[in-house]
Amino acid sequence: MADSMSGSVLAFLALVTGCGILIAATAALTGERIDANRAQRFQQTVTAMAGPGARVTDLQWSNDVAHLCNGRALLRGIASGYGGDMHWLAAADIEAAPPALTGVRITRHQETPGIADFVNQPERGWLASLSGRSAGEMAQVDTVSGATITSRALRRALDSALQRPALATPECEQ
Amino acid sequence: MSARPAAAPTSAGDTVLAGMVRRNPAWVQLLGLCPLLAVSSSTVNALALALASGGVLIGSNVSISALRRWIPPFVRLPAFVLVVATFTTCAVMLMEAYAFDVYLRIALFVQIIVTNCMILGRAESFASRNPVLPSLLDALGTAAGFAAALLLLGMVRELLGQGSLFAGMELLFGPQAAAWRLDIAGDGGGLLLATLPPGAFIIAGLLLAAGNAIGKSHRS
Repeated sequence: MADSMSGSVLAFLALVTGCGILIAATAALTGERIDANRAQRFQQTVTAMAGPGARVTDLQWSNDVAHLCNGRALLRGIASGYGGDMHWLAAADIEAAPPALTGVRITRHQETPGIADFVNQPERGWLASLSGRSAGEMAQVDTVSGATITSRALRRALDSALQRPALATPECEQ
Repeated sequence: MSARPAAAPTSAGDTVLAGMVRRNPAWVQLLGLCPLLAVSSSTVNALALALASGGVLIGSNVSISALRRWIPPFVRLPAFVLVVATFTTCAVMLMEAYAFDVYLRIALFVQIIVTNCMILGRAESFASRNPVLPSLLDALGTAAGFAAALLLLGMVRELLGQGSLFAGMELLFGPQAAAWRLDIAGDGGGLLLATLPPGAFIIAGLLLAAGNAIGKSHRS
């Protein structure tokens, strides 16, 4: 009995090892492509948000602010939503006083599907309603019912991001 | 090892056909309905999920069948889940690498293939009691049956909801597939209900009723 028991445990451990090897092999096979896909998607998002005349290649991030040298700057950060970290990316018009948002995208999140779907829809709906707001005006945007934590976390994160000192000092050589 | 003896040997065609029709996972056994209803809003999403589920099903059925003599009976369920989870993880990575745009749309439902009772059901009731070849045929039949159900629902919902068929196929098959798109009802329009979850339930119910009616008239 003891023998068959330890044999079973060994067989199970072998199975676990085999599964681990299969996953590691697939990860090694696909890792590079996945990273390239994600980087390409990030670059597409940046380009879509940057507006005309922007310097979008070789972004220089300092304190989570990157100046685009066309009167806009990109902001990035992590807000803690309902399901965990939400990685967001925003563009702001820094020639306006005070700086105002021109667009917001969520690049990574784990919010509840079906309830917080608005984080995946930048062109219409709630994220678009943030455009034009500056620090202090976020409270004018209603939270989304059913997703109060998600929307409030984004409002708060963007409000404090718009007050970052780095936003006021463009580092653009002409 | 297994509680019941292996199923009586049947021909290869019978095994495949049984999975597709007689015990079609979606329409007859009503398994795997969560992804079926959630992802079938368009044909391309449905096809992508069908391919991923089918791949996981074939992989897990074949490996569980090959390993069935070494899997200790009292930990067989954890072992099956482990195998299914491994193939699901691989499917997620492959999809993110080679079909990134579709992956972004249906990522969650690819990840929860691991909890699809259709796959665990075939492992427990077939693959763990039968040799590799019949298990492969069983998986092929079941996968084809699930794919047929997904595609049927996806096509009906896309047609009713968006008035098109095969839109966005380029996301899976490269740029030349963009030409496969058929616009049947013209732009815009369409029945919004068909693209929303309640519409999925209603249409699935109607298709199920139609299938049952056909089955009944065949038997009598």
